[in-house]
Amino acid sequence: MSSVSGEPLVRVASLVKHFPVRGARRRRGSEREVVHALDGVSLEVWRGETLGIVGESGSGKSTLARCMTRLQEVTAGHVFFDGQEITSLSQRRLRPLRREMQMIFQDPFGALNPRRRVGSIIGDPLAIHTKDSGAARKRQVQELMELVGLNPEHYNRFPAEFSGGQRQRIGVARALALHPKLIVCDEPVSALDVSIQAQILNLLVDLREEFDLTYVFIAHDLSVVRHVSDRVAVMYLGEVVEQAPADDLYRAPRHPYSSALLSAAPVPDPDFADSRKQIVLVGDLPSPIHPPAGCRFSSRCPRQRPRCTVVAPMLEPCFGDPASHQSACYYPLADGETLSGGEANAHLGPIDTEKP
Amino acid sequence: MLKGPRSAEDAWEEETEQAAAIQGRSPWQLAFARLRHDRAAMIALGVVVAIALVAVLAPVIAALTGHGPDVQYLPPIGTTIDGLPKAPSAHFLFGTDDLGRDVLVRVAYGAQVSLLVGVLATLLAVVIGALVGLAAGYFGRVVDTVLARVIDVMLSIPFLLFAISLASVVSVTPIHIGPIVLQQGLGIVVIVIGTFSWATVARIVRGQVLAIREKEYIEAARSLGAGSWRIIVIDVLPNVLAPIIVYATLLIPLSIVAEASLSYLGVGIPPPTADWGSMISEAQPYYQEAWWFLVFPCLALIITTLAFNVLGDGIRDAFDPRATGTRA
Repeated sequence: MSSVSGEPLVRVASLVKHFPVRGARRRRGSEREVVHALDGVSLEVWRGETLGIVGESGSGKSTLARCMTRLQEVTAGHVFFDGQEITSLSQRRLRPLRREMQMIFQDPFGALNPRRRVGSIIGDPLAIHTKDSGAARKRQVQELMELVGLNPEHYNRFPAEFSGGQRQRIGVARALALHPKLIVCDEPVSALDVSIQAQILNLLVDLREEFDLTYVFIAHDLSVVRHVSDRVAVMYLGEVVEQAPADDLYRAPRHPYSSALLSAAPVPDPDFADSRKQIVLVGDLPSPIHPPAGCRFSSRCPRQRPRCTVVAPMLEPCFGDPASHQSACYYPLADGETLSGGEANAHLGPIDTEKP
Repeated sequence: MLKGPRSAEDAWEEETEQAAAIQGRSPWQLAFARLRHDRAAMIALGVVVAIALVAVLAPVIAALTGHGPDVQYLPPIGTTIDGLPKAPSAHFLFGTDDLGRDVLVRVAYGAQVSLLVGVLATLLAVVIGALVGLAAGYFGRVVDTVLARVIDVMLSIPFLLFAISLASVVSVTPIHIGPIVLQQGLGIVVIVIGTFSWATVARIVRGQVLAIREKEYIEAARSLGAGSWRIIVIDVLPNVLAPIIVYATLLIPLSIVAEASLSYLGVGIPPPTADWGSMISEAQPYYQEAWWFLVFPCLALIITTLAFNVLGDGIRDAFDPRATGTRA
């Protein structure tokens, strides 16, 4: 689908982001409590591909997006954009790079200033980074509006006069204005009606072809990610637990969490949905302030064994998978294997029969 | 959002250049449209305009009556033989004061002082308050901690006590602060009132900015590479302007009353300048014999503050229609 070659456009290396817990009482001698939003995330985004990032709320997807574009400072680790390390750049040195990476935000209502006309909003990146005159800018903005399927005559309207889908098109037009190399989409359709979602997704796919874009596409909806992604990374509690080409992941998820996540995705065919076994994970996402020791998923994993809670497994290929398909699990699922109902209760008493 | 056919009233909104383009109505235009339909606010606006006209036209009123604001008419014309103020008559419509001056003319001139101090002190308070509030709210961290404490300190100082002591010190000897010389009079009153009013503005602005800073469009602007200055001016300021304007309208009557209080206590505008506060103070010994001397400056003060307050309420409702429970 895409030309994957050379060095990656974005390389994230052992990225760590901790947020200090506000208002937490600091005991003498104890370290300040932190939320482990990201803990050692490493991944690459290749030129021309779409990397989907999935995971439930609180898994660190959005934090990853914000650290990748340096909207947030990282605690440790590195982000290389186009070969350049960006986590230590000054704001001044970062500015030219901002042209190359843009974001599309989740909330089409919150991401547009309600007091500004859309022409001015879409023209913002041009006003910041170019010296074009007002008339030239207006022409470019109207071209952009046409490109994303908006009526250029609505140049002088306010965001309140547009529907959610139209507003997201405004966000897309703004992100596209400087012809960036990378667009990070942070749940771009999750706030939209299902009927509108497909329109925006198709728009994004079309634009990728037309402008040779690279996307990082964050979502919690697996069917949405499958539609647009070449590769998918599954995140759980601040870590990448599995990454693979989209088709491989959906065909044969290795990590129990990926499998559970896939089984939770709604299926449009009700007959099939009934026949399918749904794996319901027990418990909530553990506190990111005190993540479980060892494998982070171990506290909810039906296949958990004593070893899992000691040392966290590495992200690596299993069952002779190609290097592109990696998962971090000591007891990965084989092809066609599913987390069965019986096993789903196994967390109550770990079975000792299966030794590594 | 669909709009009905344009009325003639809306025609002014059209930019002539873009007559063909479809023009959205800005939140400002919507607010003004709502304000126009608020009868109480429009009456209050009329009163405010009338008072401003009286202030501007005070010399004309003086010329029409033939009485200067500081001219003292001797008994028996200006006062009775006993030296008491004379009642309203065809000659002196609002009567005269204890020194034989025309109360009508002095009330008109008093409007000049009141409006000037009210508007200038408010302007000063709004500028300082907005700057401090924007800086504290936007930059946060240490800046916010320091500025928030300064605001707390300012709000904890009792205004009248401090203003009286400051103004009375200044009245004895002009204070030199570098090139600035503070002499008793309009300037010092404006500075004193402005200095004691900005903290509330700063607190309001800071609170608004704290909320706006978390909005996704601010993050979007940062992701586009906009600097702090650009974000504050283009994305933050327009969103806090509405509460600033509302509070400023309500701050004007407060400043007018503060100025009158200072003058009443003899530390505001020094005599013989006509001023409502000092007039009320001068009228006090005569209230049993000469009600007009006390009533007219009081009425002027009450009508002015009431009009500004009603107008301020109307503007607040216009900017936030949900607060009133009615839909516009």
